[in-house]
Amino acid sequence: MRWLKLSTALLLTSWLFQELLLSRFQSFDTSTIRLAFYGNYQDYQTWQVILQLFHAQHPEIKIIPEYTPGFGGEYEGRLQRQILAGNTPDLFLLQDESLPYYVDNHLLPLNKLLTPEDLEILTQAWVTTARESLRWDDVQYGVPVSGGCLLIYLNLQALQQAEQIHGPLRLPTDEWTIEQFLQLARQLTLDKDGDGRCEQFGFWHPWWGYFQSFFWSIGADLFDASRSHWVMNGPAAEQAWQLYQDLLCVEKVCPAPGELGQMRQDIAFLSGRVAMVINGPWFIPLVENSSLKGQYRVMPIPRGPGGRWTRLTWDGLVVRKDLPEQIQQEARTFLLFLNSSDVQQVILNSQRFFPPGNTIGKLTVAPPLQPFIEALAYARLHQITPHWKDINKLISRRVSTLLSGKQSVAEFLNELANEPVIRQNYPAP
Amino acid sequence: MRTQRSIWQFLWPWVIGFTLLQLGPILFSAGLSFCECTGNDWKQIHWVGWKNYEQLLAIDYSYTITPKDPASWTWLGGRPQNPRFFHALFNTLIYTIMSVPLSLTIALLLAQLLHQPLRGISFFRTAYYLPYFIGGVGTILVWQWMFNPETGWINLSLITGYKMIGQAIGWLGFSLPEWQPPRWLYDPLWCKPALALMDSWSCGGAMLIFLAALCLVPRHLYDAARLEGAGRWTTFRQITLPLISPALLFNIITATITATRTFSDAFLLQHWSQQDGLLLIMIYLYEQAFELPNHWGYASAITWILAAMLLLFSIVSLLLSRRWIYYEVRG
Repeated sequence: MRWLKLSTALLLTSWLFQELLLSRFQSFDTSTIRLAFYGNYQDYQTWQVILQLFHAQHPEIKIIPEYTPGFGGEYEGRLQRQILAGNTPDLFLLQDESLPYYVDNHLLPLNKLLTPEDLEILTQAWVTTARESLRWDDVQYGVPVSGGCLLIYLNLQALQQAEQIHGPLRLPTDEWTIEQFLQLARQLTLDKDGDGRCEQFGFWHPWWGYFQSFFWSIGADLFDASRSHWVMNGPAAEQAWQLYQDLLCVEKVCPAPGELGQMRQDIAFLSGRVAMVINGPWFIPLVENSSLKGQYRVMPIPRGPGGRWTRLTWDGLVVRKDLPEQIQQEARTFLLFLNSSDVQQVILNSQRFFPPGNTIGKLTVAPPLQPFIEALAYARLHQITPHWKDINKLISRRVSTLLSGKQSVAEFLNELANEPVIRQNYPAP
Repeated sequence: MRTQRSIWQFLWPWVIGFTLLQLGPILFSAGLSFCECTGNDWKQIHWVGWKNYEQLLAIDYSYTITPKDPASWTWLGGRPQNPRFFHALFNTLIYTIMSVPLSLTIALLLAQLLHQPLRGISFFRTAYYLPYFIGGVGTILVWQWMFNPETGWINLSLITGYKMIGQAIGWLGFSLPEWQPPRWLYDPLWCKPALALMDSWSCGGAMLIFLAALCLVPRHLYDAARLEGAGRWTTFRQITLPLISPALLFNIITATITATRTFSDAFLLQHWSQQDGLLLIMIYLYEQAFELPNHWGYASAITWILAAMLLLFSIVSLLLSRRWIYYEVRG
């Protein structure tokens, strides 16, 4: 009877801890590659197609996908728990911004996995920004898979609404300026019944990171070229942040917090409550599958004294540092396979991103994605530093005071520059 | 002997669970609070002694406080080395001061209302208790919608009410000044009252405890009071309150601990326009522990500071309670 009780207890305990036990066994299973990635359902489908293509060509290699729905936080949270538990996926998708946090302890440099010839072939096949995005201290850590840059979406139905009041409005050209952008945003902001509440807003006030393209166009930047000095000060910086503040507080072309209820940017744009939004190619499928199909236009970020820019990010696959030797060859094969035109076409077909290959012109590009491909010519990477996440949080926090209208831009920039994480790590030049 | 063995046979599953899932992590976090550990790598743990605690609690008293500095700095008498930690602590304190009296007052009022010998009173008791266990993300989102300054039910009601008062006063030849209702969750000042109001909705747990305590108050005391000509308020103050004081103490301590540990509500309702108005201590702890670059040691130190503060509060409350608590209730 006692043995029966004991075995029942053991059985129950092992059932309780089955996840932990299974993960232990899984990490010792060296015949397969575990591939972790994130995204929405369309991204999941894209990876499924890529894996089907790969398994068709290499039936001897087994890749197990580990998909986390959602973006950023959920995925990285899971990844961190896996790393802490010693259960890191063999290959995992990482956004360029997160690279510095994993480089030191968790990633295998590609030159330790690939032959110099293979690495050369790969890196030469990518556009420059893709190559640089997953590179740290001149060492390549990741294979870029998909990228996206930010442009401005214009709802043409909202434009028509504005034309009923203002008469015919000129559609922006590719060379439009910040002044023209502001003018259009004003014209697109409508209070039709004159009750002091706008039915339509010209622009969705973006997260400051999305607004960086405007900063660059005005000539402001966070760091100098060496990424060791903080340079977000001076007239250009003040002008850039002033624009960011004015759009909400002075021009009032953007909905104030709560003004559109809990409406998100995408819904506000699709419903015509907001006429212009900054967004990436990942917004295309949603717009294309809505009643707005054919009723919108994608335009570049307006040009300013600093030129014309757009912020670009890349997601790529990185390799876990202690990848077992038994699967190194398999991992190598898969990473090289990602560079094939078949995979690049699959990514293009998703219409959510573009692939890193510099021969993209030879592939079939869906018309909605075309403006984003063209923007690659003037796109630039955000300057990633080891403290990027901290600085992002810091600026996001400080921005809330700026946008409340209780702080001047000069005060904001001064306080920002005096934050310990910036002052100690990125002194003024 | 046999009885003792039987006790252990019943206890051991709990002891194992407690050791593995509670005692173990508690001790581990205590050790971790004296270490520096970042980068998601247990191999990178370094002993730093009291450094995490020092960094959290250090205050620069040589700093001259200006009117622009947060009010909490004036209380502290200097500039904290980690202003954000103190900001979170200050927010939590304010929120607790708002939330605990509000929810307990509502709970007590409801308990009094539901302590009536009415037909079908069980239905109302169940109805008022329901929000306590149906809370969750869905409920929070509904509240978020209700608190919307433009379209939310609360502000629309306030505006309608104000207009009606304005009309009534207008008939008398007066007029009300222009008034803007609070922006609730989109305002640094109003976000905490909004959260406190929201949390008072789920005061069913405290209400149930008050109700149980009220049921234990002997009827004859009320009869005697009535014969002596005591009014409702006097009866409540002189009889009800002293006799339910143990329940009140229990509710105060548990509600304070619950308010201090508030996380999901504030986390979901955060918005940049609050300017960190809902940065409660648990949210700061979460940021430190679970967002890159994961300061596990630092976060553990926060946990222990919080635990020490709550322990201190409980001890002080229990000591002070000797002056006003009355334990002589018999059914």
